[in-house]
Amino acid sequence: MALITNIQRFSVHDGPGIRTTVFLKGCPLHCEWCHNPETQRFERECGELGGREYTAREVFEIVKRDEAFYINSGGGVTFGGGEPMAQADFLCEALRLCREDGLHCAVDTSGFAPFEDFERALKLTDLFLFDIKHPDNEAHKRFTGEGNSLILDNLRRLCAAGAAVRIRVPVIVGVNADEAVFYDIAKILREYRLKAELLPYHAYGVHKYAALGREYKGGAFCAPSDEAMAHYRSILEGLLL
Amino acid sequence: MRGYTERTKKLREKSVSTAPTLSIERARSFTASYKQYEGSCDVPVLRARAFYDYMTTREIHIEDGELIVGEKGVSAQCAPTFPELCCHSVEDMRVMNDRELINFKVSEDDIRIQREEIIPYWGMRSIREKIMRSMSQEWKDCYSAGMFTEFMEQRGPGHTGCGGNIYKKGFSDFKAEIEACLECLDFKRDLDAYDKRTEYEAMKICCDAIIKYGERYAALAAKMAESEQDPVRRAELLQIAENCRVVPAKAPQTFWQALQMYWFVHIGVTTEVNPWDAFTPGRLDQHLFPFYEKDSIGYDMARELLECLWIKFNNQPAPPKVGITLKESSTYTDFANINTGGITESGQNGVNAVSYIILDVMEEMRLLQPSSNVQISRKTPPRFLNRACEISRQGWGQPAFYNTEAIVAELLNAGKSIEDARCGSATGCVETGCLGKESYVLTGYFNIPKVLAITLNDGFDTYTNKQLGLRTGTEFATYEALYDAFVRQMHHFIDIKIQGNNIIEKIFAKYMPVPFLSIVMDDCIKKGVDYNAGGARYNTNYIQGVGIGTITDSLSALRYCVYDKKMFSLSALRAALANDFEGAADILDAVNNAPKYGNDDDYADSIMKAVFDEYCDYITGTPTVKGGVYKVDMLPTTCHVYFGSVIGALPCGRKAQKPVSEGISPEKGADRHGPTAVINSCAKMDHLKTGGTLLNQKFTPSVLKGEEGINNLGALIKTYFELDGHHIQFNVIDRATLLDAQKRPEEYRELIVRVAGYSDYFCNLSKALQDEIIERTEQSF
Repeated sequence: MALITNIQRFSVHDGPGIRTTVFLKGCPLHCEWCHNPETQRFERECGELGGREYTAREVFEIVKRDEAFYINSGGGVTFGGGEPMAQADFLCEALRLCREDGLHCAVDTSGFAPFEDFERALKLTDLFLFDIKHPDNEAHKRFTGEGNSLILDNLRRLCAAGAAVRIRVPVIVGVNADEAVFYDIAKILREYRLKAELLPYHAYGVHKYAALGREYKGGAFCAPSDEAMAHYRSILEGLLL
Repeated sequence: MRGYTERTKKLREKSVSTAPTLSIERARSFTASYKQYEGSCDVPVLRARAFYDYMTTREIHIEDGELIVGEKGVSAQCAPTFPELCCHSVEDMRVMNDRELINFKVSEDDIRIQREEIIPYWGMRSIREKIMRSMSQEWKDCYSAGMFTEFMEQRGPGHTGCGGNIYKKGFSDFKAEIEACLECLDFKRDLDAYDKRTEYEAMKICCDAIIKYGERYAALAAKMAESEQDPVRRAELLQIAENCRVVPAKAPQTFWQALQMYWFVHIGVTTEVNPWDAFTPGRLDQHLFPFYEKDSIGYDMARELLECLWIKFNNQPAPPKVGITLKESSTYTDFANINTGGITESGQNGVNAVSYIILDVMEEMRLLQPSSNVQISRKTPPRFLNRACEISRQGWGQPAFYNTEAIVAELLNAGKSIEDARCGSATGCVETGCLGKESYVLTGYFNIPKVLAITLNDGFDTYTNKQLGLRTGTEFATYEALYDAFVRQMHHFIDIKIQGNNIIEKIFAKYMPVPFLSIVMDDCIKKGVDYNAGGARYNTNYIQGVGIGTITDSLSALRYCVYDKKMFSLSALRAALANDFEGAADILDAVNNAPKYGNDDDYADSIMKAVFDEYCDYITGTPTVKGGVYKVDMLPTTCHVYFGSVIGALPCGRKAQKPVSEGISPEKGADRHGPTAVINSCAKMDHLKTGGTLLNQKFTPSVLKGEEGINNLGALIKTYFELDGHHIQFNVIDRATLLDAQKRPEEYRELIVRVAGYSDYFCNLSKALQDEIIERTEQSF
């Protein structure tokens, strides 16, 4: 059993094609900009966003309902959160059910988990959506509560093990919207021959903090301009060396 | 300005900026002919002579730059009237002249003619008067209570399209066929020979009428060419004259002539009577492709000519209605629906070079009329689907997507041959039919949610304060007992509707034959029987069910809250409904949280299936006067707003007077799990038993961004069609845009939205309908 805050069908931004995204509750990081605060704590909370327990089979049965859409679009299921790797037993069981049924499986992770868990999930996962929030250890710690050495180490080991990885970078003015940051990220991408997608900051999640009776600490953050986004993209694509 | 060439830019601009007017010319001409011939000949011949007089004397006109000629009225945006069907009162004419939206300018002179010449003759003679005189009190009560509507009360039976015969034969060929049939009539053995002879005589007169009409255009074009200074235009006018010397008398020889042929037939059909949904060339790409290949006119010329045809369609506003229907009517659209793609008669992929040109034309023209759709089959190339998705993504409602395999299966299920089924299409809103071979008549909408409101009140209608239904009691020990009462009431009202239809059909067969349309519809000539009397190869009547989302959620809430969970009693719910949920917040909350259709939830969806099956199976197979059978469609056009206005609060939590759900879409805001869940829910209905269903989906632009967006949109469509869905259409507009358009309509004059089976200018819609479109669940996250 795992606490799940939402099983979102017709997800089109969490991996290829039409997908169902399963949001597991609980995350070891505490990113100040988090737009899914309901997925941060591991325990059940009040209200609609508070989470519900599902067995892996129940999750699979909901996911399976949209199989025809996955086939026609090249989509599948994405496990996100929260940090899905934080509940590796449940995750692996759900992945196994989906994989054995032939569904394309993605895991959307912060990378912050013991590598042994990644190793187990690796065999059951078609694609890791792997966050690099900040290349600098100190800055990472300041904004998320944890350093990035475990994360970058996991990335290296995943790539070495031949996993399919797509990097995702949230771009936030006040955290990482800085040319130097992206030159550093570009180095990592080149080293492992990875592609990255940039996700501009948005404030759609702010109202959820109020609903959960929590304070939003990211009030000072804002979204980068379109020009800045284009600039960072060209850095990552190696167009501006 | 939109248009591929300077010419089509100008013509399009003129078409969209000309204010619609009313023309009294047809009414005057028909009235004079009726006065002259009535009583001296049989009705089909009378109708044919009136048609002949009109076509041979009416004012004709060629617009500067036009390549295809002929208009329903005198010129663009001019609508004729049809007093023999329904006769406008002076008040009607003032209403259509004065009102702000969907107006038609009427001159004082025309109003005088209407008062002095038209009304005195047609007042008691019109079909509408005949119908109203013949209907039972029971029917009238149900009709005014909004249990159902009646299509033929103001317009003729329509919802049909043209097949391929007019591209292979001219009207002199048709006339020769008719004469051969006349010669073969056997007055000894064939006891209907007299009626057949009359029909043949009428058809022959109509052949002459349309041939003369073409000749008049040939003469006009030749005359205009004489005085034309511009050598390029002079050559065009001479070509127009040449075209009109070939068609409609003979079969078209070129791409251009093929389009002109269709257009002459279109004008003939839509001025003979005023059939529902005008008329349509249907599978235009199939018909034109042989000419495109033979002619080698090339892309540019073909595209310009097609744009000219598109503008011609847009020049024809739907003729205005009368009385309350006029007041409530909110569109100029006449539902001519052109199908592109699909499969060929022999079952091969039907997408050809002309199909792609048509996509370019619909994208460029962006007009209300014609309605353009694409048929997607398993054999459709991905490039075609992607291109159609690209246009659909722009968010103005066209093209709509139809499932070829579903259309074929529906037609086979209705007894058509496989070849006829493959040439089938969806016309009007979404209705399947065999083009050129079938009379598929939509008879009216049926208000399914209202049946439940009446059931809960022992057959009493609180809207009209009349006992309309059966007395089935007020207390039901089980859900099954309640459902059984609902079913009995539904049968009762369907019976009343069909009894009325049977009378109306007889009236049309007797008084309103359409010998011109009968010429081009197989097998009217062979049978010697008029289209309105059963002459077509296939004859089908439809009753369109409305509000499946609302009825499902209402029954689901009743079952869940009252019978399963026993949260409150049926009488407590009834009291809450009577008070429109005032002071019953807990009950409202409970019903709002009951399982809802549109979420891929079998609890609700199985109720939808049961209601649909009951409605469909009860109606399907009932014989019609024309020798065909009844079937059902599930579509609302805009009727879900009217039907909602005649029902109080419902158990699903819908407040009094609010619109009911449209098409087979879920109740507004009831679907919480996105389009895949909606599609799964909708696909649990057995679409293949119907003649068409309508599903609307609205997206915000972000969902459909980029190549991924096209891929995902295509995947949604393909999946829905694999699940046997019949039709899906998309609005891709954000809420803020629509709210802004409501506030500043002057800035959004050109904003087109898909309403339900057709597209319309957002600013021409009533406030209630605008709100409805805004509220329709936006599929976004």
